[in-house]
Amino acid sequence: MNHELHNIPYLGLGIGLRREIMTETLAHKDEIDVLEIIAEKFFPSKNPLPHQFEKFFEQFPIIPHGVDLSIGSVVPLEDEFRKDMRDLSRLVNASYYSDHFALTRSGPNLGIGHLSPLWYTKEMLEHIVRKVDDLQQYLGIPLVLENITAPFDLGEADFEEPEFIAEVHERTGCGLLLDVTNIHINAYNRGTNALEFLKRYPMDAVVQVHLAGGEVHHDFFDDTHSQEIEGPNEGIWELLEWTARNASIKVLIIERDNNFKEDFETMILRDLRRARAIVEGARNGAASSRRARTPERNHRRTGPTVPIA
Amino acid sequence: MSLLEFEKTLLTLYTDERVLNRFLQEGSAAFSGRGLSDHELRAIASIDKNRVQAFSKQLQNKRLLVTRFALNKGLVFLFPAHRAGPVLFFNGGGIEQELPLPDTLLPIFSEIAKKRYQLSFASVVMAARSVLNEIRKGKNLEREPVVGDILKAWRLVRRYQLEGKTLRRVL
Repeated sequence: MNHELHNIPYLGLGIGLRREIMTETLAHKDEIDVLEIIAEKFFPSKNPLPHQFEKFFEQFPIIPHGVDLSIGSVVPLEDEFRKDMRDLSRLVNASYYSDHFALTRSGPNLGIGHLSPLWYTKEMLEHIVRKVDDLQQYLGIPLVLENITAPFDLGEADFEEPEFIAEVHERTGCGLLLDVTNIHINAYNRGTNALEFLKRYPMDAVVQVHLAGGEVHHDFFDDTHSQEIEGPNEGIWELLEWTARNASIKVLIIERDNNFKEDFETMILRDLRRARAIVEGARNGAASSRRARTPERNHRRTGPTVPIA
Repeated sequence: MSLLEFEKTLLTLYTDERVLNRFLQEGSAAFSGRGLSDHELRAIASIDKNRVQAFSKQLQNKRLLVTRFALNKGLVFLFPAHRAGPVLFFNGGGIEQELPLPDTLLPIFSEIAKKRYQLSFASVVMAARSVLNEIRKGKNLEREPVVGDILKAWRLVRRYQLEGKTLRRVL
């Protein structure tokens, strides 16, 4: 693993901070270790921190998660945008800044307000490597990029997504925000085996994991962030279990953006507990086998198991 | 090097109904005059037409939700300039200009959002009618909406709903 990624501390499991569930989030803070925010909504130059969010910033570690970096665009990132990325990261003392392997806009005046797939060519690889290098140097912290759901693929490419991401990681040291749900959805829509697809991603790059529940309409899986992880989403758990055994997950976030329910327990907490059992089970297993391999160090430890940094 | 033109073409394909329809009918030939390489044209030709159509519809629905939300908030979420007071943006010869927004437009937008109409021309007329009734019931507005207001409101609603460029300002 890249040195800087290795230095990111274990922050635990949490959820995306949304207005609709602010009260419940605070009420269950004993079960929520960390919050993820949509970065652009909190960019310092545009939005002074709204009063109602202050207590969240004080009480939780915060991960800034952008949606409009548009890393695949060849238009240089605006100075103001990247300054906001840096200022927000400093404001929340972030260990890393995350966004997506996606095209969302071409400069400030042509945008679609949504993530769209990249064309995985050698030319695109060179472009993204340069852009990630520049940004990481500017930000002073690692950039962690997420695999997206692809409504379709752009053909005539030189890579498939897993190999493209592995190349970017290899050459820049940037991290991977592995959206396990997106793997599940893309595999469903392409008629391929999700676990086999997952195994092709660079597990040593994984910093964070996203989970969410989508919906199937007319045999097409939509990434709606509107459901609990059950029914057609059930296969996501097997993917998480494999990921937890093979990667060093520092953060896991459950995303919910639609179909908010009054029952926070069913909507979020049940899945969060199940995810915690998997992630922390794998971490404890890894710690046990490490202790078994290093008996002298194990003898010196008298307190409870400490998190793997 | 046409990667820039390539990404603009894709984004336009996803958001511009006319461009999408041409692509559905003609395939990548719809983009033959844009300076794209053969490789890029083949990549565009490989896009699943049903899927890109569904994706485009998904984006339009998303913009509709954002538009409705923005209308309900009296437009302050659309443009930072609205925070200082109602402003109307229009594109005059490629230059964005700002003009004061007529008082009568805000209640029309608010009506559209409140009643969850479809964002059609008919919905704008119905909303204007509703505002007119409110005025007749004694609600205090400086003046009644006129045809020019309705047309302006419709143009704005349509623009917010359809144009990614304008909606960029929301994000």
